[in-house]
Order: sequence, then C-alpha cells, then structure tokens
Amino acid sequence: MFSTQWSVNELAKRQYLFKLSTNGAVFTTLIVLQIIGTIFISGAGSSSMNEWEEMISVNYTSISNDSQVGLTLFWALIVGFLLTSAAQRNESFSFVTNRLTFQLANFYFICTASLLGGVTTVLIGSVMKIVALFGDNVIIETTGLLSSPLDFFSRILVMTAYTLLLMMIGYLLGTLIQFSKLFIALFGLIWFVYFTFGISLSVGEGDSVLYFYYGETSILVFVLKVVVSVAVLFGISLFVTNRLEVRNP
Amino acid sequence: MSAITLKNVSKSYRSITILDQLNLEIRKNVITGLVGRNGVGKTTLMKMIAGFIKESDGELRVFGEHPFNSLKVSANMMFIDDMMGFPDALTLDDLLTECDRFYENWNQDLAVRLLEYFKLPLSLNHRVLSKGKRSTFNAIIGIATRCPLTMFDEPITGMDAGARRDFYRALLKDYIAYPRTILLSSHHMEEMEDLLEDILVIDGKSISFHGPITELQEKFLSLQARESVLKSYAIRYAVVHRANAGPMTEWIVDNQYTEAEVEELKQAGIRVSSVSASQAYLAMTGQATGGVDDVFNAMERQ
Repeated sequence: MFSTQWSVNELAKRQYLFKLSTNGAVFTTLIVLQIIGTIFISGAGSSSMNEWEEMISVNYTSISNDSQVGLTLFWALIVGFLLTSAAQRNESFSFVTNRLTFQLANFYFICTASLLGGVTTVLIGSVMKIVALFGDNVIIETTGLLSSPLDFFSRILVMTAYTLLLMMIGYLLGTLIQFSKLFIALFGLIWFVYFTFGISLSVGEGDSVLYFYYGETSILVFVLKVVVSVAVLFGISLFVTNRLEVRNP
Repeated sequence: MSAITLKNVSKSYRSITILDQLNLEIRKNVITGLVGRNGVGKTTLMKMIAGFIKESDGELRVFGEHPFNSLKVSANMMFIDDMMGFPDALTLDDLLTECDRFYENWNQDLAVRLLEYFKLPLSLNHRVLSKGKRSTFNAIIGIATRCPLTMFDEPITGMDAGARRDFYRALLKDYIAYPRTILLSSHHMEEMEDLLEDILVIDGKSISFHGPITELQEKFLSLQARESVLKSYAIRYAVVHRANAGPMTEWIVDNQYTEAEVEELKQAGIRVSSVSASQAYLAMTGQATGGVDDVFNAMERQ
C-alpha cells in the first residue's frame, strides 16, 4: 500500500539538510553583520583612559567585541523569527514532512546557526586583537586559545548558549504570531507595560529576568538554565504548531 | 480497493461551511477528475486529503491513515498547485535534487527530459519563471515523483494550448507505465475528459455526482428540433439547458426516457443524441444557462 515509509528521525534529518541548502543567506548575513560590527562600530566599544599618579602616565585602551556580540544576538532573534514565516513553512511542506519533523528540522537548524554565531563572535575578538596590534602598536593583555584554552572554550559555549536562547525566543514569538495575529497586540502591550512600569518597579539586580542568566557564576548551572529554558520554549512551539494548518491562505 | 475514504467529512471556518457531510470513496489507481464551480471546495477537499488542513468533522482516511500529521501519507502523496512554495535560493536543478532527497520513486531522468522538452533551463530560478512555465515545472514535478497518490489542483493555469495538450499526454503515458491514484481538478473539462475514468462533481458544499465518466454522460440526452416541436413533445422530464442555434433548438434533458419514449421522440422528427461529458457537467452545474444575462437585463430595465 505504502511504497515509502520514513522514520521521524530520517525525515527530520532530510528536512534539516534541505533547510541548510535553502537558508545559506542566513549565514552570509551573520558574516556581513560581524564585518560591519568590526569595521564601523568597534570604536564605540573601545574606551581610552589616562591615569596620573606621580610622574608616570599610563594610557590604556580597552577593546571589546560587545558590538559584535550585540549584532549577533540581534541577528539570532531575527533569524529565529523568520524561520516561522509562511514562506519557510510552505517550502518545507512542498516536500515530505509533518509538523513534528518540520519543527525538529528547524530546531537542528537553530542549533547549527547558534553554534556558528557563538564561534564566529568569539573568533572575531581575535581578529580585533590583530587589528589593534597593527593599528596602535600596543601590548595585548588577554586570554587566548593557547594561554588559557578552557577560558576560550567557555566563552564560545556561553556565546552559543545566549545565541541559542535568543533564537528560540524569536522562534517562539514568530510561532505564536503565526498561530494568531492577536499575539502582536499582546506583545506590544507587554513591551509597553514593561518599559513604563517595569523598570521603576524592579529594585535590585536580582529581580530582573535577565539576571537569572547573566548573574549565574557557575557555568554548569548556567548551561543547565539555558537548556531547560530552550526546552520549554521549544515545547511551547511544538504544542502550538502541531495543529497548524498549512498552505492555507 | 479504495485509496481515499471519507465518511461524513465536513470542513468549516468559524461559521462558514465549505464542505458539508461528504461521503466518498476514491478508487485506487484510477484517474479521477474533480470538477465544480469556483469556490465549491475542490481545493479544500484536496488539501484535507493532503493533510495540510484538518477536517472539522467526520472520518477521513488515505490508504487507511489519517492524513493530518501523517508522515506515511506525506511521503506517498504529492500535491501540485500554482501556489507551491519553492525556495528562492535554489535553481530548478537544485529543486530536482531536493525531490530526489524526499521521494523514493522520483525519476530524475524523466524530469530532466521533460524539462528539456518544455524548454525550461535547469539553471533558472523558480521565482523568475513565467506563470505558464511555473505551472509546467510544477506539473513535471508531479509526474516525475510517481507518488502513489498524486493530486493536481488546476495544474494548467497559464499554460498555452500546446503545453496543456503535452501535459495531459505525458501524464497519461506515465500513468499507464506506473499506475497510481490521480486526482485532477480543472475547469477545462473538455480538454481532460479523454484522460479521466471517474469524475467527481462538487456542487454547493456536497457531491452531486461521482462515478465513471460514461455514467455522467448517460444522465442526459440532447434533443434537437424546432422549438415548437420540442415544446409539444419533450415535456415529460426536466430541461436542464436550452440553446438556440439557427433554426434548430437544442435542449439537454434528464435522461429518464424509456426506449419506447425515445422512439416516439424520434418519430416526431427530434434528433436524439448523447451529450459529451463536459456538456453534461456544464448543464449539471448550471454553467450552460448564461444566467448572467439576467443581471444586465435587470439593470437595463431600471
């Protein structure tokens, strides 16, 4: 009766490969954004200070890749959101899929993209060091891959985790909006309420939702927090999408 | 053996009912034509069968499976229409590779040869194709995937006469070589009636006819004579359609006449003949009456 029978895993894998081949522009955009961040706005992240003490003058310049981190996180949010677009869905449903494999393929794609985002953002820090070395003739005091590999890899891990988190948030927002346009109004309202009353209400740093993540000192607990959050976000997306009607104008 | 079974299946969006209580069995490995006027729910029916949308009520089975969220149905089903989404980033060649990735029965050789015949360069992007070329490409995908269930929803949109003829021919040839269940919807019944075995007419939310195409033809008779003759003799059964062509008037009537009655009509000088499937379909769905004239006549009277 059925000439073809796929397993969920196999099809999710094939849908993922399909996504990779059709969404190459996502990665190009990331690279372009990081180059823009490095060339045009890296100056904003640098600060120069002079300290006077007795007869010695010390000039030190701190260079940070904060702008690239910011751009990458922004990129992650947008990419997560765009993955839920009707066009993306229709493309997937032109071929073999059900809602579960479609979601799994998206999740694999999000993992891949955030890993790439994490690695490139940390590596662009090294590029900036080289640029600074040639430009200002300064001595670089920093931890690198060779001097402290553990630190280097933990930076990649943390950056990847943040990118993954942001992408999943964008993905869930997109999924909810695809489910019902009323969510746009709801999110608008939440945004408005938060910025009008939210900031004045929060007393200490410990109250903030963000502090839940950036205030964590143990890397293992931090990773655990992110993994659990991502699982919850993905679970909601899965639940919402499972009844979604496709190719339905 | 039936490929698709519907039991009391309905589909509605909020308060609007699109399809109401359909009962239907589509035979396996048969080409069925799906016809009906605009907006009667042909596409909705196909999308439900494809598992894209969910039925509101009733029981729907495709090869014994419930199609919504079924991987089995998705893997063995192909749904072709002019709204098919293909990624902008891929060329036609890339798209064929993707088909190969997803469909086990995919025949790359056939697809490439057909694309060549229809003058569709592999290096082009799907987005830049003209409407007719895009329909042609989609139709080729539908033929070359060789899915056990293949559905074409208005596949000939925008195709020129030659392309349409070639498409029907290619579909028929490949169907004979690899029999499968095919659902084909189109408004050009006269072009596809040679291809069809069964026909399914949807009219006003429900099925008004489903069966072999010859059975549809037998439902009606065409009577030709002078109008006065027709008016005095052919009064027994409902007249579905009236047309004047020169001195002769043609009536299409319900075929409930017994042989003796037909003989009587012939004696009276009425030419009795059978109707074509498309004539029968047009008469049945009220497309042959030219009723839109009434709208303009009413406006003129005001």
